[in-house]
Amino acid sequence: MLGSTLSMAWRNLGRNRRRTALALAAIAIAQMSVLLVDGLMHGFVDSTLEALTGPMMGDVQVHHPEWREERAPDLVLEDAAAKVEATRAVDGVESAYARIYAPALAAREVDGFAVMVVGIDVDAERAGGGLLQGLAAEASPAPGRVLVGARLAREQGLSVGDELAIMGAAADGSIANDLLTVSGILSTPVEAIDRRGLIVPLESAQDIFAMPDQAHEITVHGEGGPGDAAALAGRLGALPALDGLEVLPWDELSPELAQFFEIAGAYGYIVMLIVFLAAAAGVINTMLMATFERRREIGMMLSLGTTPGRLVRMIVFEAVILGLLGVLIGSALGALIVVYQGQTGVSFYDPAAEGAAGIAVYGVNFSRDMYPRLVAGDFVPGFVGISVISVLAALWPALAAARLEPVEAMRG
Amino acid sequence: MTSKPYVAVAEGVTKVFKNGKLEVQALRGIDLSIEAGDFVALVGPSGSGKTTLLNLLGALDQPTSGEVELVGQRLTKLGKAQRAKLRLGSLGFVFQAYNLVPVLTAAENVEFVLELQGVGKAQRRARALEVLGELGLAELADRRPNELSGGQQQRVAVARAVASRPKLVLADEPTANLDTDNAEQLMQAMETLHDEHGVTFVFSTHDPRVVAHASRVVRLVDGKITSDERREER
Ligand SMILES: Nc1ncnc2c1ncn2[C@@H]1O[C@H](COP(=O)(O)OP(=O)(O)OP(=O)(O)O)[C@@H](O)[C@H]1O
Ligand SMILES: [Mg+2]
Repeated sequence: MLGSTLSMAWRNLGRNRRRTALALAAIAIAQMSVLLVDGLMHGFVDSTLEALTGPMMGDVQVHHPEWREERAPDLVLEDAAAKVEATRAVDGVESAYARIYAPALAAREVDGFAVMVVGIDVDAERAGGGLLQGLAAEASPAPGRVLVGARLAREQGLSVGDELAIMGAAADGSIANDLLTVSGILSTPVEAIDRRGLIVPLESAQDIFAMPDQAHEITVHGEGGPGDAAALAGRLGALPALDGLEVLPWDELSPELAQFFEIAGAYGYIVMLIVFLAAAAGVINTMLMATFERRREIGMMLSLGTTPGRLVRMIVFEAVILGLLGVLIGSALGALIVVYQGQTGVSFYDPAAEGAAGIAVYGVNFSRDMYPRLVAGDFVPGFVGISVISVLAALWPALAAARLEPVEAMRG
Repeated sequence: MTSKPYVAVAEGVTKVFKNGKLEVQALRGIDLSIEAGDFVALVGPSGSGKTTLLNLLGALDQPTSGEVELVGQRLTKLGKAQRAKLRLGSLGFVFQAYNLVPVLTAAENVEFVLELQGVGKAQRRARALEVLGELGLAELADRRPNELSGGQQQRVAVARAVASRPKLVLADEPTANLDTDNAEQLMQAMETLHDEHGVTFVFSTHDPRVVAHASRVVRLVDGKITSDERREER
């Protein structure tokens, strides 16, 4: 009974191939669009997170509890070297390094300009995915030699070999000043560094700003990446060496970013809704036309004694087969395209448009490619949604047909 | 005289159709008994009420007044679902057109009713092929309706109507869309089934050559029976 009802439903779909093909195409395109959007969204989140947590933020940061609020130079971490050592020993930590952030005034000749002196562990940040990843040794900052953000260099006309005088407030309240030579220009996706950054070795910064074995921040990269940051932060927070300090994962350090991803996800749902409405129209149209055309045939079947239930099942099966077949085709096509995009990567901005500097998202300039990908959950809404839509779309014409008086229906 | 059981009895049956203000008296007091083994031609001018009467005898409609009794059940006491069940279990139908399900083969069309009756797969296949074979349609068993001629389609419809072993087969102008040869073939098929298996038929027609096959002719004029003749010789 079930078998032959299914088989009749299937054969009925073949009666008007063109109409069936159109409906299939509408549904397939719907599912494909959803998968393409999902794929891009995952790629976008991946590469944004990668750009953000990669060079600058890390997955977890350790600060003096008031540092983020006040940014005062004296809100420091004491015994920085020991704390970094303790951090590196924690399970799941890939790398950890101390940083100093000190606002200062810099001048090449007469006019001064605002800069941010960033003291970093040069060796560690060149190796482990930090700010200086891949930087040549000769361009690296060294005592007395400073690396300048690319945009800052451009705006202030700085080039390698120039001398810069800097002046700022030291952690002990005294006035800090020094004379530094530009060793290199750093092009980085981190906007704040690109625009205002002067990067010096951690020890130099400790000297200049009177911060012996002190730092403002420990940046931690976890082996599990951004997805595992909360768990890692939990383990680090339990470390006695970090007692009384603020240990936060990236999504709490940058809640607006986490929220941004949620909003982006919500747009995904809106796209999904619109696209599925179009698919629903396809199914509804097909089923209305089909049952209308088959009025006499339905009347004949009812005359023979076919139960309304059987008739409804047949029509609903027809719609569900149509819907699921469409989703399957769309899933296959969408998955193929996303897998291909994942291999080749998708460029987010036009590299020819230099100077536009890509798209800045929460302080990270988007100049990198992204790699779309799909997770199993991306396929689910299409299958569930289309199944539900198909049943609903078929139910109305099916019930109307089943309620027909056989004699009336056969008269046509 | 041996009294045969009645498969259908109409008593004082009237049927009035209302179309807005217009009332049409389609049947005006019909008394008719169909005996098991009857081979009845229902004749009469267009609009005389043949289709209306056949629909009542087929449990497809309800009379306005009077009573129809089918295989011992009073029609007016049955609801829609019960009438459907009665049709499926006890009646066979051959319509003028749109008889067959287009997506099913000839054999599957015959099986369709058997399946609705709950006959098992192997058994219904066997019975379908048997009946088709008897009507000389064995070779056409796996063809779809659009691969059959009009005459072949009607004969498949007859095969379907009798395969479920109904008490009564009703056919409303089954030959109306057929040429003379095909009409003749169809009538011969029905006659064979009547003669050899005792299938009871009531069919309507305008065609005197078709009427010639009947063993009983009921004439309707203006919603009334004007004559009801039995003929021993055909
Ligand atoms: N559903 C209906 N609504 C209104 N009037 C109807 C309906 N069905 C039949 N009639 C009317 O009832 C009368 C009998 O119709 P019926 O179809 O039974 O005649 P018939 O003998 O089958 O005619 P024909 O030989 O043309 O098929 C006609 O006047 C017809 O117009
Ligand atoms: Mg008629």
